[in-house]
Amino acid sequence: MSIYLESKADLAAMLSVAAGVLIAASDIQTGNPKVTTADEKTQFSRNTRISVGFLESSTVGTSARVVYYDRLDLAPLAKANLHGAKVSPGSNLAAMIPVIRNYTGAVLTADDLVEHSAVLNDTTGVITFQLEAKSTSLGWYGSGTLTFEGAASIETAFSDDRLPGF
Amino acid sequence: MAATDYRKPQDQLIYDLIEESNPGFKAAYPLGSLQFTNMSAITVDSADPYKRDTQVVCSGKTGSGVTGRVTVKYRRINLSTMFKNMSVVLTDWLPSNITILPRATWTASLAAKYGLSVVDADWNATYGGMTVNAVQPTLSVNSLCYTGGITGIVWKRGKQPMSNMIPDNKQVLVGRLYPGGNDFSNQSRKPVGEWQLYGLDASEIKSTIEGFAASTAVAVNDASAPVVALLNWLKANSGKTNWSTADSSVDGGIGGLTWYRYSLPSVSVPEGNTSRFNRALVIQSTSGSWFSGKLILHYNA
Repeated sequence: MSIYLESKADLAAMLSVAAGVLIAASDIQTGNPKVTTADEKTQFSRNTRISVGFLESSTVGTSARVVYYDRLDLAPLAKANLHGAKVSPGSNLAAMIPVIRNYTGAVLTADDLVEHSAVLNDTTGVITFQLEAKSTSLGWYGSGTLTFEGAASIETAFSDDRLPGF
Repeated sequence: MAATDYRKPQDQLIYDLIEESNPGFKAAYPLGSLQFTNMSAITVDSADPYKRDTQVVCSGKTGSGVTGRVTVKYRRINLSTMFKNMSVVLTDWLPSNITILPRATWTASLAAKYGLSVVDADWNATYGGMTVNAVQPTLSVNSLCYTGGITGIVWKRGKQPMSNMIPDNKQVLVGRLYPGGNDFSNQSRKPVGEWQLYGLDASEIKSTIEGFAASTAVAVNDASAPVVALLNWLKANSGKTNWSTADSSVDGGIGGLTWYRYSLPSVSVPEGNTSRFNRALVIQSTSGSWFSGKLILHYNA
């Protein structure tokens, strides 16, 4: 299933299906993906256009061509049930990628996402992390916000706010 | 004098030569109204600085309105000179079961590689297809613009072009997909199975899970103690409280489905592989299930 592969590997898998031969991610190079124009969307029903070519080192094939495919919107991924996963405020992208992988199964890499840090809301105790796709991501577009449970509020530690005094 | 573009069709090359010596000719006589016939080799005059070796008759095509005929002399492109001391290797792809590269194909390949307009009909009739890696004898041409020959052409089987692998009618790929599809705006869209339980740690009931057979069909309304224990744990920990062994068409029901236990990492369920767990219980949906994809419950043995 698509979300369980790295973006480039998934593109290679789609190419393999179309070509009828096994094409690995290490066989290909790509140009930057482009959002399809309205006309292209009508004609091809896909949201992305990209030029894909074989690397010189590939033994599978040669030359390049333009293909159309769908990248995935990040917004639905941000709504996955994270089952109480904990992250620390300030966690960077490198720290968040394995968390996302472990709690959704989705394979994202630094090539897919813009660098953001986990942010703690001091009032609610909730920690959020913004998912934002790079325009050059081969597999994703759009954005979303992951929400994690923060540390327990300090209020839960108090059963009595009347202190005895000195 | 501008460099000659040898890629132009041969009658165009002659036409350009005529214009070069007779400015204004093109304006008076479109190429389409002319024909070139009776080409023949002539003895080179040692005093001719251009070493003209060929003559051809230029006249009007029938019905063109052009009258008269002129025999023009010129020097053809000598492939022997052009390819002197060169190893010519053509790398064209053909399926492995085809061992002969047809003459028309290698001619087009040669022309494209070296910027020539030589065509299939230019070659002497004795030359046909090339076999893989075999060195060809001197191939001779005798045409309007080309003379001489090429010695020792070799065809090596090239890699398949992507445009051949993925022709125009296949350039629209299947596209990336979320489990259950990409349309999340549809109110009747099924929940993504993977996101119901993924990452939940069920290690505390591992003995219950390991007690099931590796492949177990869940009977509808199964009320056996281990199954009930599993359902109760899911109700308490997954955030979804209506797990049951009702038919899987009912929300929360897993009756009628089959679950499988896997050791991770597994090539059978790569989507379940995670660095946090070494076991998974996987329940595959069917077309009538309330969810799409798979329920994946992780635990450590």
